[in-house]
Amino acid sequence: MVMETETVHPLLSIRGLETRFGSKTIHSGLDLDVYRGEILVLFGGSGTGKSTLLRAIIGLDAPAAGSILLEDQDITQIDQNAWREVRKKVGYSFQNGALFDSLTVAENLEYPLRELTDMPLDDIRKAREDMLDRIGMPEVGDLYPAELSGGMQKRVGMARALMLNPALILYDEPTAGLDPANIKKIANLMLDRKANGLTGILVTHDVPCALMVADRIAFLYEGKIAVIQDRATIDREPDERIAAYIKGDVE
Amino acid sequence: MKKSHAMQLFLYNVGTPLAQAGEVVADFLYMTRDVLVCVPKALKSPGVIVERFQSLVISSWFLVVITSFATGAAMALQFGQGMSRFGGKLYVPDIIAFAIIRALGPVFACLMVAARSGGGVAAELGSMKITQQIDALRALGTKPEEKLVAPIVIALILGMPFLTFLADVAGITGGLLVSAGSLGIAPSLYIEKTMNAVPFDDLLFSLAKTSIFGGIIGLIACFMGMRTQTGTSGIGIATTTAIVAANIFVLVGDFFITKLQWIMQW
Repeated sequence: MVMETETVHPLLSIRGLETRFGSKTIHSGLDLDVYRGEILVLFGGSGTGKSTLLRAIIGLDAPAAGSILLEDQDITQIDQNAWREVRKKVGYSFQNGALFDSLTVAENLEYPLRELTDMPLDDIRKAREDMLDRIGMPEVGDLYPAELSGGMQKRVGMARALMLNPALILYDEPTAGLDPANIKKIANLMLDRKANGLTGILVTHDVPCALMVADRIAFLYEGKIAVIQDRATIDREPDERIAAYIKGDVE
Repeated sequence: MKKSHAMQLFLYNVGTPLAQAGEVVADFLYMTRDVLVCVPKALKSPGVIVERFQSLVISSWFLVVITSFATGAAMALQFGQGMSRFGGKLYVPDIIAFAIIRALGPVFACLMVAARSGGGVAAELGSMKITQQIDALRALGTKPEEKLVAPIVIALILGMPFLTFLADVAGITGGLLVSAGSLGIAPSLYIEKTMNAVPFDDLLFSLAKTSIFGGIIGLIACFMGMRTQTGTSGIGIATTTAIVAANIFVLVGDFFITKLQWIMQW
């Protein structure tokens, strides 16, 4: 599913992105294209702005300069009402799930459909049950997030991000702190969604998981994408920065 | 050259905190604007407002009543002892009614709510902030100002007059019990003097001003909660700041409203 030819139109195209926290510049002139149906993995040392990039894409942090084109619409230039539509197309799977702790698992999953669609209540319930089956947790609907393990919370958080059938999903360290069994479940869920045509950007430090799901790997360094390689090239002749990261030589 | 450097340093040290404070005030005003815009939508979910009314207002009634009751009783003792020396103990009911209804009832009710409910709200929203639940609300296309802040502010605007009325009744009752038991003032006389001491308009005014205080307590608590910095200590800081800021606002705001009332002869 690698699409690095210039003839393929990207789903997401970032040009000249600049983000700042106060006086500190995080990204400076960052360019990135993400193509339909692929999973792009973002590698980079701690504090290089991987999660900040995801937050800029979903509109949680406004960039200082540059453009982010989602399906040819520059989402840095749109108003709040237009953002509502964009957020139907982009899901965000938070690092620790970010489930609403006052709602049950079922209510968490129903939340995006209730808020952003006019879907009948019965259809919403059906969609929620289908999703719980898909993530292999049909029995937890009535539980509260605090009653779930960390891995289960992350899976439900990912499921909530998938409820609206987005075109693009942003995975923010979905496997951090999980045991191998849960990592495998999450990786399989990502692969399952990819098989259904979902495009994803994965920020992770988990190299085995990244290698399991990635179509391409981008390396973020000094505020820019320093290199992007597809999976086959990485196996054959990896860029030295990506190779160093995989070996654990980059902090 | 040295003088110029010292001046630059002085301006930097004074200007930076002032600029930061200005930024905080501007952020607060932006949030207030966003909440006001969201109020009509929030009113379409009365269930959420009722839930907040229960947790922020109804649950505070005992705290408000006990505080005001004790204050009224203590005032009766203090004024009773002092004024007995001048044969003025019959003025105790008037003084207590005047003080409780015009000043102490509203202020104590607001201070208690700021401490109990305001602190709770700041901690709750602070916890949501550091666990990314507020980001999740935004990422799912909904506004925290509509879903979280507006129901809290509406519940406190509606609930504060109710709590203040309870505080007034409790304070006067505390004064009545002490006056009857220790000062020998007949309860019927106490009640009669209380009814004549404060015009009904004064009661309405004091209830109305607590609505405004309630709304601002809610806004301050939510604002501080949503500004919480990462870490559990951040929640503690947000909670403390919310309580202190709301208390200062209530006390200073009450002074200015009382002054305005005085000038306008309300």
